[in-house]
Amino acid sequence: MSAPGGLIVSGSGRDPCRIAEVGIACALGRSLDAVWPRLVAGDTAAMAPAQASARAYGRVEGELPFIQAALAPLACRNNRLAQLVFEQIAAQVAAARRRFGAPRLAVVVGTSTSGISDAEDAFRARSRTGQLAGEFALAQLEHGGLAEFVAHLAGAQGPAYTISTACSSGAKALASARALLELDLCDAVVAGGVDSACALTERGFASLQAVSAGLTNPMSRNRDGLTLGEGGALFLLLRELGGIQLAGAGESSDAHHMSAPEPNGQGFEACMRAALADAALEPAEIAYVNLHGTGTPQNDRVESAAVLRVFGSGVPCSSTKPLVGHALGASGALEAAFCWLLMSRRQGESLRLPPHRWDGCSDPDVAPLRLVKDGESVLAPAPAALLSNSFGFGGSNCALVLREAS
Amino acid sequence: MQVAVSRWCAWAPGIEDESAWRAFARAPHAPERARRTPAIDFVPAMQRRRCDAVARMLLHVANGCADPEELASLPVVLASRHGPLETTVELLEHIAEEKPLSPTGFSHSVHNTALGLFSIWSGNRSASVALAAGRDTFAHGFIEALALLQRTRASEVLYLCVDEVVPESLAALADPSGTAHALALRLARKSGQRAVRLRIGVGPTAPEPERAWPDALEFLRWWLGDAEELEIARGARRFTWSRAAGADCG
Repeated sequence: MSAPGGLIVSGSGRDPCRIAEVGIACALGRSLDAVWPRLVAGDTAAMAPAQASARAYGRVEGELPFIQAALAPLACRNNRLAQLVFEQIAAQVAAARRRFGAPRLAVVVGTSTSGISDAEDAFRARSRTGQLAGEFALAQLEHGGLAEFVAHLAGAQGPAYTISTACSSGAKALASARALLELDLCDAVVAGGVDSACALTERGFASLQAVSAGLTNPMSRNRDGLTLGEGGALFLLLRELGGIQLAGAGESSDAHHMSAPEPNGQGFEACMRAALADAALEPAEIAYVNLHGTGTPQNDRVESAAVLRVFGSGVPCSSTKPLVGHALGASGALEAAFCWLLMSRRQGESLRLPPHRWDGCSDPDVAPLRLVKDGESVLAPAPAALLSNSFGFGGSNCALVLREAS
Repeated sequence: MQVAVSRWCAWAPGIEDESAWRAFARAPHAPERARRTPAIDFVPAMQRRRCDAVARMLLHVANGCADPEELASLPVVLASRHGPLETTVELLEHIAEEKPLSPTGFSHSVHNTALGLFSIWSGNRSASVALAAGRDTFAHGFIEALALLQRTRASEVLYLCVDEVVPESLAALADPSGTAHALALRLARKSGQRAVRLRIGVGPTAPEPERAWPDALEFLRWWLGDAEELEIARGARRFTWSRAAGADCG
């Protein structure tokens, strides 16, 4: 089978899609080098609340970059976070733009928040003064604003859009970016997701009684909800073999409820199976599953059962949400970046894995998965393949498979 | 990839049935700036109660171009510049006034709310995507529909482009051309006669005048007419739809 550009396609019948570069910011750090050791150590120190009365939260620490005056209508915290992440891959993106030309460079990013925290400030100001704050622009609240901003930073003139499907946004953006390369609508894509702290999601999840009193405790009998976080991960994707590939994506809908998963997990199972089929892999070929693992009673019960049905109880699994919080629209991109890190920093025939941080109290209602223990590695000679799950409001599900090129 | 519009349905205040759209195609005009929505009597009352204007328009046009079995199985793309902005603004006002948030309001404030409601109503469990891209939302939704056709290997997708008028409190900040509208296109893989091809190029150096009606409606007008090409160009990008004329070459 040959692709539009006459390229050799991979074993799955799909074009190759190389994750050529990754930028990241989350509670664990503001670069790959900062995140890596804390990820595999399962370091939850960054999640401690600032005051005893506050909830745990996975905040990106430190100052965020200043947005140039020419992009003032897009100057919101979410885009400053995007800039922090983008700067890490800017040189490689510029090289891709020179190689292929700006019209062949696309942007597909995911967010659920866009600049809503800035909109909150503007509405608070209005309730005091009767006027929306002068620096607030509707483009900060529009989800499309994130793609527009990243396209400006990248100098991209190819397609540039934002996918917003709640907590599966970042994962779906990667799935979509890969399809644009296959369609030959571009030669390189900046893809990923960015979400930022805001009162709307904090109070919204609190109103659903979905926020954990302490740090989220996924898969435990004592779990009582999620811990929120913020962050972003951006990838440069190219239509070439080599390195680590975005090898598969599977998507499904629950057709059940706006904010609760379908109790039998058919949608969760369908998207994992679709991602495996897309990557032309058997379940036994997956070396690690990064769980959605939000720590809500319903997600963990339904997800664990679906993972067990697809993979059995042998595959190492963990939720990285106790380390960084649930970064909602960015979580799928962040967790894909974690999977990329595990393979790009492989140790001989082994992969270090992020431990599953919880209280160790198993729940008879949660299917018995092989949760990654402290310091655990898995024997996984190259080419290894890893899977990451993301499930969102509206019953929007996506699973991604990342795989080393053979 | 080439596609064809196998069926369509559109709705805007004052342009509400096929003959009205055919008249619009001959002599286009901006829809009324009304906050009216379609009745969607075919949706059970319990579910209808949850539907905002975007969801009501979406359900109306989706229902108008597919039978129930198709609605339950087609992959779906929703392009919406603002999504459920009315709900979001209500939440923002409650936050500003330190009032508690409604859990239902919160769970219905995500950009893919109308897609979720569609999926629950129709029983659709296939892949679905919601997106936004500012003024170029329609064109990028069309691109994402092609991308979804590509990655699901489906033969057809349901492409929905829906927006509501920006709420009064933000109207001063919004584009004046924004009017309520909904378009459903069933895009099927196709080559040969009347197959549509989309090219993406570099945008104009000078700003082009904006039309008084949304891009989605301009596309429908082109599809119903005879012009060979439709070009939408502003900012950095130029989108050109063209259709193959003459004999079907398979």
